[in-house]
Amino acid sequence: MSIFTKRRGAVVAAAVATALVLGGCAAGPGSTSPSTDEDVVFTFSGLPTAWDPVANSNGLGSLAVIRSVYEGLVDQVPGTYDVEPGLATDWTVSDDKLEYTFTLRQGVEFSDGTPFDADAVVYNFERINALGGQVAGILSNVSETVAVDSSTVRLTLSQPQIQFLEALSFAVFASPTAAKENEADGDWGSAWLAQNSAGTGPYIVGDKVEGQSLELDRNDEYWGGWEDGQIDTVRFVATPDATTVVQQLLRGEVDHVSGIMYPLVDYLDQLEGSDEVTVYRAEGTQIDQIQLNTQRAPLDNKLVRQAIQLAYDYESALQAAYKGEGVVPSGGLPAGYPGFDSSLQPLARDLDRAKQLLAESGEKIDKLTLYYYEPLAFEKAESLILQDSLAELGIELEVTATTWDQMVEAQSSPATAPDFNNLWHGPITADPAEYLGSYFHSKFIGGYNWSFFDNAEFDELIDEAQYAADEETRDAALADAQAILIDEAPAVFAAVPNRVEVINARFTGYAVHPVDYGGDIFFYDLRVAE
Amino acid sequence: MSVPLLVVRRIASMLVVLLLIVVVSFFVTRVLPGDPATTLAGIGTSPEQIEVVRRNLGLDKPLLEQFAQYLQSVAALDFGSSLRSKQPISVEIGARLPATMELALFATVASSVGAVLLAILAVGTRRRGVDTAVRIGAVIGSSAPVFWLALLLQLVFYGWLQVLPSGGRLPFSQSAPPTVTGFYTIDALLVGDLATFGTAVVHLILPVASLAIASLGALTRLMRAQLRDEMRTDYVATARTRGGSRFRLLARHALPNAASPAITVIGMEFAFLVAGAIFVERIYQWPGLGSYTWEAIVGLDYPVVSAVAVTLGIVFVLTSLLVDVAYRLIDPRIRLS
Repeated sequence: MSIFTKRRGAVVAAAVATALVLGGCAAGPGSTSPSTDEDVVFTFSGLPTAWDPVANSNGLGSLAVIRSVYEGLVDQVPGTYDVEPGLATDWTVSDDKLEYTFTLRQGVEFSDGTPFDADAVVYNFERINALGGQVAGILSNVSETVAVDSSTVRLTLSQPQIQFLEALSFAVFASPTAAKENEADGDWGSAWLAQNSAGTGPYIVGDKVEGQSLELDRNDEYWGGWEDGQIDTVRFVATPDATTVVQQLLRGEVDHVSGIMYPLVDYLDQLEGSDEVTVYRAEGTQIDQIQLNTQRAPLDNKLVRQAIQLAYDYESALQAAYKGEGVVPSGGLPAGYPGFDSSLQPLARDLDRAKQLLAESGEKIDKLTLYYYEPLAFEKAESLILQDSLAELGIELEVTATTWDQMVEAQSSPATAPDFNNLWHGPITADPAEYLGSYFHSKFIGGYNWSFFDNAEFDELIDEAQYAADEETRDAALADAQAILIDEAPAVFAAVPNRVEVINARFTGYAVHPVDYGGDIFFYDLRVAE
Repeated sequence: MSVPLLVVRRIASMLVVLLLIVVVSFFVTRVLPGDPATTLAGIGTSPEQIEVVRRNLGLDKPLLEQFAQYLQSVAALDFGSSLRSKQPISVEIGARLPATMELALFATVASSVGAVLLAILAVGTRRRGVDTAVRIGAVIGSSAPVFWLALLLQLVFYGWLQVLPSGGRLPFSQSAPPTVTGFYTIDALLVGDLATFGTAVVHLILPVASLAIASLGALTRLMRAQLRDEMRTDYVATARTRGGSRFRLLARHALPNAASPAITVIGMEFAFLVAGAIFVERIYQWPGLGSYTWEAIVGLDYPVVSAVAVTLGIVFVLTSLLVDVAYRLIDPRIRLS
């Protein structure tokens, strides 16, 4: 035994020594940049799990894959709320605004060689409806999809929808051949598409090392063509903690970090002082919300909710959560977002009025409860500010850090939900009716209407805005809806953080995209700086 | 009892244990808070759309029916598919397990060698200070939380000194050697790729050190106590009369006998490292079973959590079987029952 141990020890010691020498020569810890001159590799810190364009549309990071691999009839224009022709070259809209007829781009093939045509569009809409979930929800207004001929598709809506084209940008198409060939147990090829790809987009899913990395390789046959300096390979890698990821960025080991989990504002000075990276800033489209349980006492009392809204210390919240890197919200829509009522002023604290309203309410409140999602530092900061603010009203707030699953479970009914729950709000589409509706329309109780806010007038206004025939009608309805949210106070709108994105300085062509829930990047638009 | 009979009996009891793990893990993961359908469907989804997702996942069926189906497929060694990635779980575990095994194996070897050397140093030296230092060091080592140690080592060697990588099994740009065992070190050697072997070992240093230091403490204390006892026995006293240094006496005579109890501990240590690497794997982005478990728990991937529990059960039971067999082969005085 002793001999065995000694020998084994010697072998290990020798191996480690050899490895240190070899490792030092071959590939030291810093030398992780692309190995050849020709191949442009973009390393993205964040590793998606699955990327079926329908079933995984909501996964944080999944959209970065889906948007690079798949395309729809219309595409979002990076950095704007607009859409542009995608797989459709043009379209006409009927006078009653119910029929959209699209002319399809010719000569486009899916990466498996299947031609893109009208039947492929029809098949994909069937697939979207069968799989359900977010994309189906966004497109629930489409009542019929017809292939007029091989290069023409007609979509019929149940009701006119002014922002239908923006919603349509979420319907991206997979090869019907690939989906059918790989179908298992009637899953519409979902298991296969979760790990492979068959789209018309500029990239194809390539090598994957389980739990470590995923590569997208350029689709040489892409109809949009290629020029010099574009990214050949996108490599997604597993992320470490925030401190380490910032160092990886500064040393050029990764080119970009996907957002929400990483409070990069804490490292802004360091990042802005570095030549290695470029820091991009833009107006935020995320609102950090603290939902009030409007169906249980005492927060079912509107006066109490109004008192809380007025007691909240917005400026301190912005400082505590984002070091001031953001703005105080003016209500349920971020400033600059389509449909935002520009006459609204940022919310402001008025403690005297708050105390007065609380007294008027007649409620005697000792203690309230709050949940926040443990990994999110900004939710914690904003919750603690609420604790301080409520203390000024003589109300104790019990703040609890939970897992996402505990939150979801608790929110299944007003009885099990805490009095307050944090739910940050990012835009899924450019549709303001969707932005406000998905959190406050009563049909989303049981979904993500975590306030259990049930207001018939508000519901009507959102429906009216969603299916308005023109922007004026929509914005008028939305202005009223925004006013109701301030008056009814179903949530504390705590902060709108600026978008801060950091990308390795050797890339240009990046635009901060306002409609970005899932850490989206348009890799095809990036170029290596000269 | 003969070794083959021992193996057969052990496997029989192993099946019972595994069945228990299957039952418990299935029901425990189902009563945990959370709703995978809501989580997977995502924000902006109406309750109706969430129901469609639930139906597609098979989570609308009664719990007992789900369990019957699960049991049936587990009996056929099919753990089903991950709710998140839709891939067969056995494939994913197969891809992740070698990374964890490699980590645990290196850590076990490192802590065993370290413990033996430290114990010999402590007992062999006549200086009281050295012994005390080893003892105090062992207590500190075994009480330092693994995740703290891992973060500290990463901060020092990646953050400040910049001499070791922040994590991963290889640099982002380097591809893995052709898979034979799934151990990058061994696979690299098999194709004679010394550079990749070296890089793989460099990437192992910090995670292995984090795990090894934590288990080194307990092992050192055990070895030290065992060695001290052996040094007081008659046969060592006899050997001493024949001359030779104290260290030679320790290594040649006391160590082999002191090693037997340590094997049990080392074996279990290995099994615990496989199960306990979750923090270290998270911190070092190590694509093993630990980070897989973490992702599954956070993503509410019930079938994966259950399957990992069963897999760890197998690792534990197999390790203890191997330890028993090794024990018996090494020390003929021991009769197993």
